[in-house]
Amino acid sequence: MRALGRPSTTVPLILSLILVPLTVVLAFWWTGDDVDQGFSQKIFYLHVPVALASYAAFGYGAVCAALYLWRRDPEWDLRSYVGVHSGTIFGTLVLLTGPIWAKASWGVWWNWGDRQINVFLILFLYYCAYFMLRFSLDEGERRRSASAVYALLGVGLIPLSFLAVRIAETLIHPTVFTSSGAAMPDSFLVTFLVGLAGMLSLMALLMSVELRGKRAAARLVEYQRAARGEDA
Amino acid sequence: MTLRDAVPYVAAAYLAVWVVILLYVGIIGRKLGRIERQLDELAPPPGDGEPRP
Repeated sequence: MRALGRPSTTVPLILSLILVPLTVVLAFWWTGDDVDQGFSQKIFYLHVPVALASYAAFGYGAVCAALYLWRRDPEWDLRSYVGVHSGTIFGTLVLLTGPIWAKASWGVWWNWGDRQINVFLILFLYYCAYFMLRFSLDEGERRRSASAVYALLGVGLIPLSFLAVRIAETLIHPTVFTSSGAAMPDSFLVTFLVGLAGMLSLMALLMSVELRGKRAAARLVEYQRAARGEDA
Repeated sequence: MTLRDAVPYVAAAYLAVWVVILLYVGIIGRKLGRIERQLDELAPPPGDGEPRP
């Protein structure tokens, strides 16, 4: 397996250590309470960045899948897998924090009438099935190609999930980012952007650590085969 | 919703994120530890059981 370059862990680690705690400080000690939602709106600074990080990870997985299908380099398959895996972890966080916020704001844990959360659930379940597909096939070209095609097809759900709230014009799920800008005070927006940068850094850190682990595991298998006298 | 009512929800949301991320880091750490042990079995690091020159 050819390495495309070692992903850096230092930069995302430093950024995560600064930005994630800073988000908490800004959210609780700088921004005021929201007029409509009160104190429960503090979940916004966590839930929305986590959701956007999840979309970014799935998108990264799809881009790497496309690059694999183009170049046929197993490294892109590994990167695609790590992207989808991280997206699923962050997706789990979205599905944990979302219902908590919904219960606090709307009085219900889940609203089956809200298109955005339902499309996100479909997106999450779609990518959960990616692992079933991947690990049901033997390691090799067939597994890598099938995984890449599946990861690539799912990317269409990302804009659909993001735009569902705007298309549906639902009243219960608020739209704070519109074509005319962010409908929130500057302090809320700054805290949100710091939170988004922090979550993207954290995601990049976890992805680079996992990618290193996967590469080391692949090298280990090659060494074990060589030690047994098998062809790699 | 009053501040007193909202605090448990906000705390639960923030706690859930950190628990999941810590679990994820713990699982990755265990996997890396296992890979290191298996690599050591294949090629023990210098000084393990060998007299130093």
